[in-house]
Amino acid sequence: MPKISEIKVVRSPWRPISEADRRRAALVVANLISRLDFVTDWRLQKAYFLAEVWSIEERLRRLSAVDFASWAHGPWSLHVREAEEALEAQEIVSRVRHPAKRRPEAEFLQIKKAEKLPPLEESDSEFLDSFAAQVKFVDGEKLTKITKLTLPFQATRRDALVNLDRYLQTLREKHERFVNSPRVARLVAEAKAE
Amino acid sequence: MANYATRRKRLFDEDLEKAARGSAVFLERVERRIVKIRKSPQHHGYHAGGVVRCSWIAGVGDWAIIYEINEESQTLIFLRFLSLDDV
Repeated sequence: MPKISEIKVVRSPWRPISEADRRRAALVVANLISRLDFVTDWRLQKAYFLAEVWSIEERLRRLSAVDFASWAHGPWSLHVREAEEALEAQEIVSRVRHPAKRRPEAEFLQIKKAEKLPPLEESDSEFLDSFAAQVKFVDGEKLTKITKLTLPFQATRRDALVNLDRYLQTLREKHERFVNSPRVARLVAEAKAE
Repeated sequence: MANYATRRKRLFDEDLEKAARGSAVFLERVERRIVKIRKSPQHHGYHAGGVVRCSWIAGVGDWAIIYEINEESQTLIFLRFLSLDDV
């Protein structure tokens, strides 16, 4: 039997997040579940990732501080999983078994006690409403394909964390360059003169 | 909240068609972004400083919707749909 000193402990790749960030992640998870139908663990993970990416791309800010890893089956987050488990422990979220599309049955997440949830900021609520309207009828498989086509996922090697903060920074810099580009100014002037 | 009326420049539609390359998901995303902008144009975009003056910009992925707001007539004029790398 090896001695304790001989056992190599591999450092977790997951960054610890603050208590406030955990609460925020739980709030986003609960709001996604309440806005989407037939949410499995898998579909929740993909929907959350896509919401994060679209928040960066449309609002130039993160929806929350969670990290995602690039797995063979698409993005996956320990923080999202933990948020989901915390909501189940508080009995805000529960699981129900229903017949599923590709299997005899699957576990779907549903909100049990919506009144226990603190409200979201208006701009976040509006963003998630619009996001949910776009992905509500997109099945898990298609959602996975869409997440895999996102720029931050494509820029990440397999098993590494997707650096969403860097993606946000890159986009901010691109917008900065964009509004200072004489070429863009010329293209806009061309349209104004049309 | 009242929706602003919209006008789309020919170049805007041409840019969008080129960018979408037949992707329905992309087109739907852009159209939904336009719906949001119509409801609250100042809230969903930012006023461009720099050399692209007097226009508003709303990001969609690696792309930008460029528009003007005419408060008097409550009209939005969509000017261009350009890649952020198109600098």
